[in-house]
Amino acid sequence: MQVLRPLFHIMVFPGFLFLVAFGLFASWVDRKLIAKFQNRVGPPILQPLADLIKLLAKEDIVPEHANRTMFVVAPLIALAGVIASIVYIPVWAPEAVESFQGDLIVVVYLLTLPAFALFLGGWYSTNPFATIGSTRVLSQLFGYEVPFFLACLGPAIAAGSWSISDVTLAQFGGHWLIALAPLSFIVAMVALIGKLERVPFDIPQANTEIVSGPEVEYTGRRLAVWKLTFLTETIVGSALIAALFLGGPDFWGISYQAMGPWVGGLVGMIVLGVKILLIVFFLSLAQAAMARLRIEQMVQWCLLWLGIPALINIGAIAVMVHQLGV
Amino acid sequence: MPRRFGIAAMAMELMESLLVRKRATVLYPAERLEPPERFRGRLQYDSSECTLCGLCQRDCPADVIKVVRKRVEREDGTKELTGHLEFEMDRCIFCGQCAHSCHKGSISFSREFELAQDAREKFMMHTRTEDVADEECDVDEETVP
Amino acid sequence: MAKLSFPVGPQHPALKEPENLRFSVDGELVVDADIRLGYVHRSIERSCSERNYVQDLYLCERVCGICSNAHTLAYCMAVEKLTEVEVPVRAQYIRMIVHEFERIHSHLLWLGVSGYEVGFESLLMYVWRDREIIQDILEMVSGNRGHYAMTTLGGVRYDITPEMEARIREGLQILRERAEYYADICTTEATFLKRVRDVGTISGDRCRELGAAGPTLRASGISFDIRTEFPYLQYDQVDWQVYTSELCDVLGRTLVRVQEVVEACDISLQALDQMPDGEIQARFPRRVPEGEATARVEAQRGELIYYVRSDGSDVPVRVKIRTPTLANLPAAMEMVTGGYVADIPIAFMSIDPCFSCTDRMVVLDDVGSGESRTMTWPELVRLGRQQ
Repeated sequence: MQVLRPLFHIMVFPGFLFLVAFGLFASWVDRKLIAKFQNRVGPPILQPLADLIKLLAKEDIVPEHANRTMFVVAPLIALAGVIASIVYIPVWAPEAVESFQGDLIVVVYLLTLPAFALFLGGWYSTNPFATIGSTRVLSQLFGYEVPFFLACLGPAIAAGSWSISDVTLAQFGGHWLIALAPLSFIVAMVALIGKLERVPFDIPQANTEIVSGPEVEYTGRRLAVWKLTFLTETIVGSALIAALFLGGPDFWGISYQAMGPWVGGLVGMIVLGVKILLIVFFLSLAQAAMARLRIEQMVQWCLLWLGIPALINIGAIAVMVHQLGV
Repeated sequence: MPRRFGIAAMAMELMESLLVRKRATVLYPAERLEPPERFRGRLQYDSSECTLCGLCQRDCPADVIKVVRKRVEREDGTKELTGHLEFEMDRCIFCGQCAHSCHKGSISFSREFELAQDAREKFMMHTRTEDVADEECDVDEETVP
Repeated sequence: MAKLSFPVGPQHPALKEPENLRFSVDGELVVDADIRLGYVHRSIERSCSERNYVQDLYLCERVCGICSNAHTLAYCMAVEKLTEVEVPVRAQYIRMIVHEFERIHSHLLWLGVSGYEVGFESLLMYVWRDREIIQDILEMVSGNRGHYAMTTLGGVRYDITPEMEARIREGLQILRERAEYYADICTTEATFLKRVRDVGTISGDRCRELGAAGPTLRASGISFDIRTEFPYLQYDQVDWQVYTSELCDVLGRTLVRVQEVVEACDISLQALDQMPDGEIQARFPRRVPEGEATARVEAQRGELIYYVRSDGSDVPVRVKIRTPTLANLPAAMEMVTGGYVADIPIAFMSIDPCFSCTDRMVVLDDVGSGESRTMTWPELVRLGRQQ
């Protein structure tokens, strides 16, 4: 029996099935919003699910010259990394399913696995488009990963803990850390655009230049796994930012205990869901408003305009914590 | 908002599109846009004035039209020209030159544009065989219509 | 990193039409570029010699879907030069108006597609939404959104009625404002500017050496437009100007094209004012007198040349087409070499390539000898320039 509960958490809720379902919904919201921004109608709500089913029904091909093991394993590593990290992020209550000191670092590490797996999968595809895309994935990683980590450090220092659950708990009651760390919040959001490979940072998958980049040789089920990876990463990344800056499931201090375990959990989940969708709204707006950058422009701009504000914010927080004992 | 702040101005325009503007597309086939008057849709042939001169056949760039002529001798000995036209509409490029070439206005185009068929045979248009002409055609063949 | 051979095409999301570009890249830097054409060759020139002059109108129109009327216009002008026929003044004005309408539609199409090439999808959607205004006008006037079949031998097929005039004026006013708005976006939108500024640079002298034409040439500072150098239709009767840019890069070409849209609106409005009443088509003989004639037209992409030779029958002996994209291709290859991989689509797209137009070469080989010949790019260009 002991093994069933973690299995449930990883595979069903808040793990794989929940993430996929919410990810498909968020993908629809994203596509519909972008369409409305562009004066069009947009797809109906079941469209992302239909796309996924179509992919699952297609033929699976492994290129002749590709390294079969790496080609097959890479997307699975990516998906596994993303799903594993949700257990440390608070979804319905300030405590996540599991938590320990340092789980913030583990989660940030797990969320870089998709980028590395994308690089490996693309590199071992032996396709010129995939090769160029893979190098771009790594170059882009330099640009956004350091600022993202620095941005996540800010709330950790403010709350005085390395555990995401403690950071969220510290914000309950309405003292959201976005007030103390606004720059870090913005940096984290922009770095999330890079992590999810959306415009203006969709350079590794720039489809007018290198077709699909590292994903170009993937079809059928394996491409579905890549798509799922980025769908779920949207949710997990947004949930992380919401947990660190926006108080996670907190709704200005409503006590969830008072509502009882099931209702309280549901309300908390809905609140978190709304916050995630707000972040998705911002991501869609950024996608519709901007053009795609070149890789060297992106890295230069990110290290300068994301790295430095994140550092400034950390410094400010450190001063405030030390002097004022916040 | 002054355009100096390019991205922010673009974002404002996008928000305006989201909240205020009507969509620019129509949900076909639930809503249909009506083509204008001169639109060259379904080809229509009116045999009442046709003299089987064959100018349409000569000028069609896609070899769509075939004029089939028959000389028939009536009971009282007079000769008569009858025939019909065949249109292979799957070759048609809807340029409208046949309508322009015809001196009698027998060919025209309606505004119907949903003309897809699922079999090549369905594109053949045979007109009815009847008395389409009473005299030889005396049309000026020397100038471009 | 070792040099990678990087193909773009024949099928690629960046290309509107199939062509095979081969690049040698070193990391993100393009070291060498090569091109193979011929994927859209339909032997139209050969087919023209087997059909009569009226049928050839439509064959020439279908050389390209975007600059279709420019081809028909040049063909009609060339054939009309072989005869004594005077095209009526009203027909000339209408021809000019449709010519400018097509310029508007083509440049807006290009602007949208180049936005898409740099990942700026919203620009694509907005520009193409506004392009629907001119498409609806063209459909109202001619009956079709592309391949209008307006221009015919001796004049035009349809007239512009006063009700249409009112709608046209309204549409052109809106378009004029939107074009100025897009010029604004192109010069102030930060991410877009980063992708087009100093990308695909080529100097004016080099353009002249390589024989570039159209907006590609005008964006490098050289003011050359067939409509002013060798005026045709009624371009010398309307008040307009040629717009050039000293920027020599993709941004310059963008601005030149958007400004040409504004000028096209102005020319059309003036033409609508000045247009006299009268016939719209003159009588034109079926059998064209013997001789040969050329016509030059400023198509959307540059100078379009038609050569027609006739022997007195109603079927031309030879129709030869020299399209502007062929002239711009050497310049395009040079723009792309030495740049980044990421800049390939936008730099290549900035000459507004139209490969349906370009694949017009017909080389009559000795079929009996059984040997096959591969032509290199310089050979092909030389062959094109010879004829």
